[in-house]
Amino acid sequence: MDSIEQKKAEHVLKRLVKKGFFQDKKVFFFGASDHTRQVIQSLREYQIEPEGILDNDKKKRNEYCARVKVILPEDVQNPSDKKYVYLICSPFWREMRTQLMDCGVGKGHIAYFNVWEESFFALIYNAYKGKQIYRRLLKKYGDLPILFCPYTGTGDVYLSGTFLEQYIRQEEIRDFVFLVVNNACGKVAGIFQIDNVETLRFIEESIWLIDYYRLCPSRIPLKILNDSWKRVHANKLEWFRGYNGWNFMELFRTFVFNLPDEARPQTPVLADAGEEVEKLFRENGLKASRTVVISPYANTLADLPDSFWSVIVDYLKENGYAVCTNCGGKHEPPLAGTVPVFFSLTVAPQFIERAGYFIGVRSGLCDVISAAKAKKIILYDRDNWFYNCKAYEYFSLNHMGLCDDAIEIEFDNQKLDQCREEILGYF
Amino acid sequence: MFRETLHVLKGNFLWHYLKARHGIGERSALLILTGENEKVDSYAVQYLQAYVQRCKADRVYVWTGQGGLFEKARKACSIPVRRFRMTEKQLRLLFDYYCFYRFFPNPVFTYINQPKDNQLGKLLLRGGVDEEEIVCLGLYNLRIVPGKNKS
Repeated sequence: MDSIEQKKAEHVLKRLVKKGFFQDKKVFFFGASDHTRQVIQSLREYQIEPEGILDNDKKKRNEYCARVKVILPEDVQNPSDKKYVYLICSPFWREMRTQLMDCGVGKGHIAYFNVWEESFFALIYNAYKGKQIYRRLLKKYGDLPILFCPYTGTGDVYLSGTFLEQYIRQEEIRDFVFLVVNNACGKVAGIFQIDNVETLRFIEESIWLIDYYRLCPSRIPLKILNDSWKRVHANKLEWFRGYNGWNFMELFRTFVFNLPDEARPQTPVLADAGEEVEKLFRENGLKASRTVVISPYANTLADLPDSFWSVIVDYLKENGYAVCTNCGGKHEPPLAGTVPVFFSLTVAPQFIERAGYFIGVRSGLCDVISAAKAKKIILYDRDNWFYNCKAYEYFSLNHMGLCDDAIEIEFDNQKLDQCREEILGYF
Repeated sequence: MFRETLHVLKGNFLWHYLKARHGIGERSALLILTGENEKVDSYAVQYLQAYVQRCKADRVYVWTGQGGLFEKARKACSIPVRRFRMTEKQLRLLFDYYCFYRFFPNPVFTYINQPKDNQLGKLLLRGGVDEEEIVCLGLYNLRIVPGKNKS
């Protein structure tokens, strides 16, 4: 779910809570997906815990999504019971609604997220606004090709950066504009020392620009750096993610950059950031080569309970490590007993190198710091699926070739103690 | 931009005309067998039943240049299969309109190389998948390939 959709989902949720939609009701989600996972997290902010997630996919049965059990729709006894409400966060909402209503569930017991459909004329207007953005770029850079990362995920930008040089050589591109959607993505582009990095003014501009491209593909030299960006709905690659063992890197290499199978991601040469990193260490009382940076938050993948982290934090502190939490904002508070740190993504690998240790739930930050020479422990939820494979299979840093020294652990939500012991075994 | 806007506007009018003419409702599915790749068209017919089950359609409209495929589609499906009538020129216009605006929940065009962002043809050339997988995962989003029991 991109940040626009997330914002809208939070708005819908707030409205439903205010209306009393959840009052004395048991909540079921329909469809185990990344969208569902994010809405569950938002729902928990209102102290509402879902009963289960319905999914027609039998292979997901008894697995977990955001620590909620996935069941088949037929596992719900008396689904039309008035005490049940159903939340749908899927582009297949029509089919899901039909399925629920065929079981006798009333319309008023179903709420929808991620189903915003724009009118044809709204899209035309978007395209017109997109044209203005293109004009702005034309004025500043001239008629250069625009390489556009439409997703806010820093991992996508990092991966694009690793193939960029090979791509521009292959396509004989002399100069280009590297367009990103926010400052964080711009900073990741900065790691690769890319010239002409342009950041859109606000996230909606990405929608408008793509709508202009969809209306007038021959009038704008735009290249979308994503294997299957959902706004370009005529590209149907989405369900090949993870199919036949194809991972994140392979899909980008082949379908975004058109590079041969022999092409490997090229990690960036890290710039000297000694002074900035040193200052951060000094200000936060951190110890060189004896600091553990914990990154417990992820956009796309799983999260872990605070109780899991607190034992790790206590153990590390008892053993003389400085422990800090990478905090990106108010939604990412520091773990109890740790120092909150915020470092720019431009110096993230250097910061981790100086710290010596990193423990993090798999997120875009893990891509960014993959080139750091440090002990990097990356955690994947064993039950987390990404399209056609496990999240670990799709996003493994080692398998993608972003590094070969990451310690990657798949955790079982039912056996978190085991995972914790394994982590502590590295200290 | 004016020319392109006019073009998709024509597509918009065409769709509303065709929708009214055929009586297409929200629970209908639409399959356009473009003839770009015969094998893809053939698998699209073979898995049509799985597709209509997935999208919970109660009827399906099929456009094809080949009468034989339409008959096969009718036999393959447990729900009413109706012929979708339009000219090749209208097909082109409707597809251009679709590329800009997803005008209907369940339309499937069996193009794999058009528009230029459609990478299914490239995936086929790359190897590792065949037309059956292209249809089940790419065009129909079935998430599995029932014939191969593989996902």
